[in-house]
Amino acid sequence: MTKVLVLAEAKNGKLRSVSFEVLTVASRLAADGEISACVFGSDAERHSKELSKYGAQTIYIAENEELDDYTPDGYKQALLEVIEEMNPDVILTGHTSIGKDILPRIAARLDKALFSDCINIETDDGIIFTRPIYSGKAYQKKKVHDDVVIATIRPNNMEAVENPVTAEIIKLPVTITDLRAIVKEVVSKSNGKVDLAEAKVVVSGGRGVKSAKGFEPLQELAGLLGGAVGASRGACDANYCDYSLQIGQTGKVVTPDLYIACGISGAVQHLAGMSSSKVIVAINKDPEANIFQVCDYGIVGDLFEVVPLLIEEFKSALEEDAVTN
Amino acid sequence: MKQLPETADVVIIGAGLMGCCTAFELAKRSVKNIVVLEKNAIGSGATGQSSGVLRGHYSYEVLTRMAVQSLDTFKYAEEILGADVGYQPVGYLFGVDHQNIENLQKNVEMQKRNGVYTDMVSREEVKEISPYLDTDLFGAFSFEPEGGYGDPVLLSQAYAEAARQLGVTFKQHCAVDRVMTSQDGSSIVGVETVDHHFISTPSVIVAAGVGAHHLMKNAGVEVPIKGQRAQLIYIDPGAEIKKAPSFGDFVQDQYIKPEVSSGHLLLGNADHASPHFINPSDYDKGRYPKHATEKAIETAITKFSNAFPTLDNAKLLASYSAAYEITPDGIPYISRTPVEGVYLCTGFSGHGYKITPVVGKLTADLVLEGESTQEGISLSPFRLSRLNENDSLKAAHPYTTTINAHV
Amino acid sequence: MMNIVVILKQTMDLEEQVTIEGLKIDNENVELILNPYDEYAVEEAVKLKEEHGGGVTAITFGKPEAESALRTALAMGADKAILVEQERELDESSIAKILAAAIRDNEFDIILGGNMSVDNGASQVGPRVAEELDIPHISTLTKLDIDGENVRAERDSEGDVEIVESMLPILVTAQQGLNEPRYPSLPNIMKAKKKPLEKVDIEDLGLEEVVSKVRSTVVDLYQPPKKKKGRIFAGDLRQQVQKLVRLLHEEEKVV
Repeated sequence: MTKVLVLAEAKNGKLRSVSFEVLTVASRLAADGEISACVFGSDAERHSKELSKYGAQTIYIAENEELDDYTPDGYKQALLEVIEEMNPDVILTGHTSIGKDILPRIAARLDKALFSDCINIETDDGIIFTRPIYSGKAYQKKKVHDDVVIATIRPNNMEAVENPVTAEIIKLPVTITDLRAIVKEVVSKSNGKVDLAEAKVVVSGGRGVKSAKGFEPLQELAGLLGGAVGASRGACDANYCDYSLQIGQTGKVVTPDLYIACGISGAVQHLAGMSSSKVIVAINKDPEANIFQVCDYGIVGDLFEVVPLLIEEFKSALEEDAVTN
Repeated sequence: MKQLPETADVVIIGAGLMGCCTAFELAKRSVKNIVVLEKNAIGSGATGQSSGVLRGHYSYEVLTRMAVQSLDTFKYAEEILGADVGYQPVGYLFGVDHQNIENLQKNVEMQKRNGVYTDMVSREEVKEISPYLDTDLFGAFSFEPEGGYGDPVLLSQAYAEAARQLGVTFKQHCAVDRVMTSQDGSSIVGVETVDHHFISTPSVIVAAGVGAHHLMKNAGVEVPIKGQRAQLIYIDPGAEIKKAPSFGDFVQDQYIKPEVSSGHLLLGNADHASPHFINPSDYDKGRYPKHATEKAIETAITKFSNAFPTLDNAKLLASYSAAYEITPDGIPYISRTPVEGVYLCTGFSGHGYKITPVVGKLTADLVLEGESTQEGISLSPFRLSRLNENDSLKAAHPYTTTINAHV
Repeated sequence: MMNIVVILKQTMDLEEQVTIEGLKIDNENVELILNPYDEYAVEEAVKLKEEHGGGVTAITFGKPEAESALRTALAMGADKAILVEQERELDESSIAKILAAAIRDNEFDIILGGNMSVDNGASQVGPRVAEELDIPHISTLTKLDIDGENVRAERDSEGDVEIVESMLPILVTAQQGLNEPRYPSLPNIMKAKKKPLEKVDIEDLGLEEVVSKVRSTVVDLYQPPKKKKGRIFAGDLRQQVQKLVRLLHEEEKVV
């Protein structure tokens, strides 16, 4: 009987959608085994209902305010206690800022392999993970030979499927000692906006946006579609926006359902960060721009004409929906 | 997306400098229905790897004439092509050792006779032109104020755009699989793309760089051409060098191209004593090293430091390895082939950029007239058969320090 | 005086096309560079040395050609280098153990590395090395201040900035934005050729048995299927936009 443990993550008081995606992966790996989730922090218990909606049969809670902010030492101690308690065969979490920070330490501690940033799992003949390498220019299938399987799952890649169960909640009295690194302060740059890595829609600007102010119509479009704004390295280098928005080989990798590239030429460096998006729309004045080679739909035109029209047309399409629903 | 036509009057394979320029020249002479097929993007092959040095300095008279007659296109690109092509007349300085002073003088005379604006310059004058250069390393110098450099990719794009205006069809990301000949192999029938699109045509110009080798081989013609690794180093000279000229250091076999906008320098190796060749099929697949070796970097730095000993704050910005198409004698093919209707315009051996405008005209001449209409320039040195006939171009006063065919 | 260690990796330049041969990526005919994130780490290490004194040791694991990545670090200002030579490709667990063993033989106050390598993209080795050495770590650093034993850092957490405090000894991994890596000067490149570069092998580190354990195998390697040519609209701009919105909304159902 396979026992799977999922480390769930909350942000701004809400569970992240990647946690549900990982639970769905867990249910595939568990087959008729057991799925457990763990979640940390002083108000962790409030998340149990949602976790059980996605199949978590046992939920380990470590209610400790030392775990309110993520620290490698704190999370390591808490997670190791859960692992000791339940002895999982599989440990999963999202390939997120926290996931990719803590699981390497856990894997090192347990002396196991870690499969990072996985986008697919096959279970027919042992466990085989698919993961992108070389910024998505190639995919690698890796077979697991360890007795404990540890992996991080790329957000926004696998659908979260509801699978409601009744969960047993187990509170672990975790004592956190000797935090060698502590978080003094978090300066939120995303302040409530949709997280770029998890956004279903990304509207992204390049040098063609021409100024910081040029990003305003893009923000409006992203806001309308419930998405996030991104940028090419060119736009960041030109100081039109913050580097935290950069998508590409040296920036973030995004895989939204819809990626709208505005005034982006489509340099290899940028494509590395977005080419796995489900649908790519390119808007560029230059019909020869490389971005048209990778897009699903392209409009040759000035983004400052096209984006306002898009806003208008999306508005009316979405309003129609509201009326018919 | 524009559909490819079923037939064309001329198909050009390769949208590098030569393909684009030839398309423009043919269209200017009222050839209709020209199709240019490019496997990647315009100017993305050898064109994009060119250093872009402009000079009239050759020891071969015919190449000197071609460079002279080409210069106006760089100078007046806006009028001729409707676009800026990045011409930077920073000058071209050429230095040789003591043994080659007389060769240099003879060549400069020949160049002047053919209209190159050039002359011998004294050490004192060189101190003005290139203040950081250690002139003691050299025997003599010549200088051309109108030399310098330009942007090869911009030039190919300008030709492509001008050709488009005249009705030429360009198809990028469209590789040609085969040049198809009649049953007996004697004449052209058409070309087939890798997507199995067939274009019937009476004339094909192969301007595909090293790719000419396999295209022609399949058509039964051996074209001796291969890739040669070229290792290039980008440096920040660490001092503000105003108006640094392009410089041919033929004591140490190194050339230096400045970049006006950044103040950086490109160092290129001109010592071809032990070339690293890349066979055509590897070249086509991009299977050659893209990095400069430690040794190449070290050699370039040493040569640079010898020539510019006071620039000791220079910094290495990048190094890489490109590949040029090379013919056995370093002279290009602008030639008909044993297959009627198939022409070659390839093999520029690292020195095609500066003569592009005239090459386009010559190729158009070849296809339309069968002979050159360019003053004082014969097509004969560029014929493919010269190699079998052992009749390669000879310079009257070659430099002894370099086996560089294209100087 | 600070003993500074940088762990780094040579990678191929991802501007290049990837060619697959069997279950491996062709690394022969590509430009090899110092992993860009590691370049930030080297720069930060050299800056720490300039500010606090001490020495920088650059360590890598890999094939003989990885020496040139170490030479780059030496030309940027590292003082000595260690190459753990090995032709085999090993997994992150083994690499971390090798690096940790090589580091253990040296005195260290701080270890710097990139937050990921652009080729494998796993983001594992840094935290794993910290665990092997039982020291704290801070990843994806965008700012670093050290005052005596005290470390104050800013790290990028998915767009948010966390201000983290810790103590030496520590391992940190670099994120883009940490600094602007310097270009090595030509004289320093020539000098770097004379700086000490020690080659060790896994047997020297007594790790032959540890790294021979197979934890995973690559069973397939492939390139993503080429995308079909996209549809480029033509005609009246508003009609183009209307068509696009209808397709996204009704056909693709992504909005």
